[in-house]
Amino acid sequence: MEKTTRLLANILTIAVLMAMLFNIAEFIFVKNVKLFSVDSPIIFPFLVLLVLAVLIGTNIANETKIKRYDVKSIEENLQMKPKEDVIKQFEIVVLFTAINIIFVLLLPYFHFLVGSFIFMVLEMILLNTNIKSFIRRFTLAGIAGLITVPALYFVFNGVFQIMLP
Amino acid sequence: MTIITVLYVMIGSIIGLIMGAMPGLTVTMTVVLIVSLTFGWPMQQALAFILGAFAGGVSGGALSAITMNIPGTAAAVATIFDGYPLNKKGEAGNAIGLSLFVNVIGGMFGILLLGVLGPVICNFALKFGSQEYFLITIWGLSLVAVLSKGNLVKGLISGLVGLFIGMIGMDPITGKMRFTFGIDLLSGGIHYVVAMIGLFEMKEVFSLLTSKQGFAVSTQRYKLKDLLPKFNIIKRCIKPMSWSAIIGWIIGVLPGTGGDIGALVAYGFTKQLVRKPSRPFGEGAYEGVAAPETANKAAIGGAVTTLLTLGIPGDSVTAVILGSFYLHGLIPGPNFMSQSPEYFRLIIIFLVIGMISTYVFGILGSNLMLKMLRLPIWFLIPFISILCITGSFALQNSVSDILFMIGFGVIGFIFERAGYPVSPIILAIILGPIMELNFRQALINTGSISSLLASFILRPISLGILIIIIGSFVFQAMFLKKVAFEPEKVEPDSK
Repeated sequence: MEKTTRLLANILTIAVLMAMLFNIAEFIFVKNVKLFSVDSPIIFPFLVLLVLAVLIGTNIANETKIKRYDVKSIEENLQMKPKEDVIKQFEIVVLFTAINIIFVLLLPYFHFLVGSFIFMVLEMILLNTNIKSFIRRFTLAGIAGLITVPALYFVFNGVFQIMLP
Repeated sequence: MTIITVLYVMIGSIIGLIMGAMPGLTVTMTVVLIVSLTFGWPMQQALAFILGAFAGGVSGGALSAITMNIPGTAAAVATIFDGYPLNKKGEAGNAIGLSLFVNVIGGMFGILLLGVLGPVICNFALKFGSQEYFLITIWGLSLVAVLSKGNLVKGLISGLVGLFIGMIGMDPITGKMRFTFGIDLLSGGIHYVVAMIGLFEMKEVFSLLTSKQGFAVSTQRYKLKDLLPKFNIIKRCIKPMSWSAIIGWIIGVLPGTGGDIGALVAYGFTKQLVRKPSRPFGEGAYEGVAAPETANKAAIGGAVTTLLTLGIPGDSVTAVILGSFYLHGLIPGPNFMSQSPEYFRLIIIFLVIGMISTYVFGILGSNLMLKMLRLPIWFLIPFISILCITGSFALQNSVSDILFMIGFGVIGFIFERAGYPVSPIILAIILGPIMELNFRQALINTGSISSLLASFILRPISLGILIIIIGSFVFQAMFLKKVAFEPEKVEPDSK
């Protein structure tokens, strides 16, 4: 898990670095904005970029060093959970992210009450794996959804008076 | 101020108590959620709700720390050391009662100092120019990174990523678009509340999803008289309470440090200073519960002092509160006392009411809260998800905000798993624009980068701040981090 997440986090930070570099270069070479002038809009981002580049480099170097020389790290790697477990954890996150996104995209077509009820029941059925019987799981999720969603609707709409999706 | 506002403080404190007590639901999450839901409210009512939740949330953490050996909030980590052993000795009622009582004392002390020293600090801060403000924002951001649980480099990277996110959209001085990449959705920037909900709440949903831990909650019920303070216990704890309140307030004032560090440092000091504790520390000493619980509540007053007088948030909770102030058009800083004295007084009153109602509801509702701790994860996950989705939509009635929020949740999850703390990201998103504006104003005033650098040393106040920054940086990195992150070893519960 640690190795995969470290890699993903490094990719994310490098993506931020690249995005900054690309935009600053665009300002300098396409929009002809001076980098070192007192009213330059890119002077501060440029300084941030420099520090970020140094820190990302240091971090990657540190992690590589640990990988090569740190016996502790090798021991940790040996004790790491099986790869399938790691993949399973990411699969769960991806699955629930997808469910959330689908729910959000479909919400304008349903009413908040209906959409949220379906969403809650579906997630609760998927998560409540302790109960083996599907009918019991469905009933429990249905009851919980029937109580919670109208209560939430009342609180959001009635008490907080906020616009619901 | 009306009876309705008082009622909002009380409701806020109850919500804070419940959410603070639930492991995985932090004070920051609670405050973020309340900010997102109350932004359309009148300022007074929204402030009442938010500050009530802040006061309640910090106290709530102790409940699960004592009964479950899991701190509900980071500020309650040190409470475990002696709180849980007290529970095992059948004295959970005494421990909960003591923690709630010292919370009020510590909280009141912090507020008292806020009321007395706030105006003095404000008067002094009026002399600050752009250079000083720039340095103070750097101070806050770097210290959060230093004290983050991940390593220093990763903490600083998180802060810089936050600065990048804060820069997306229109440049505040020239009006040019930066980092939008031609995407219209990004031209207005990313709303910091959306980022907060994603990074603090949605991330927690993903963490709960992948954790297989269940919570073992005690089924014991407490009688009201068990939870009321006992004179002999309070008498033993007066000295630890007095120094812990001062330690908590001072640590709360420092940018980058909050109640969690304050509580750990106070515990460390108490352990050194109390020669004859009621029981050995780590085995259920009352002093070991009183010290961290006094300090973490006193830190609220300290953190709010820095927030109101300098406009600098000390930690993630005060960063969220600062964001809510901006949402309601309230600008904390040196001019705050002169421009909005009525709000300064109101904030103090709300905090006082929040502390008292937290105590009252904490005593009356302990049994109910313990019942709520038994809510299963399969219910909590979809429930929190809906709260996140509704909260992020409510800000601008935009579906894209919800998608951004989910995206931030995923980023937060990956970052946290990889050892990057997420608090510096939020702090940087909020502090970034202040930092950049002051940096560029100072640059325009001085005319060049070399003159700007020289002005940091040539201006007496700026030089003073620079020395304080370096001093506190070394002090916090060498001392506080050691105390905070190398705490007492707690025996895992065998249950």
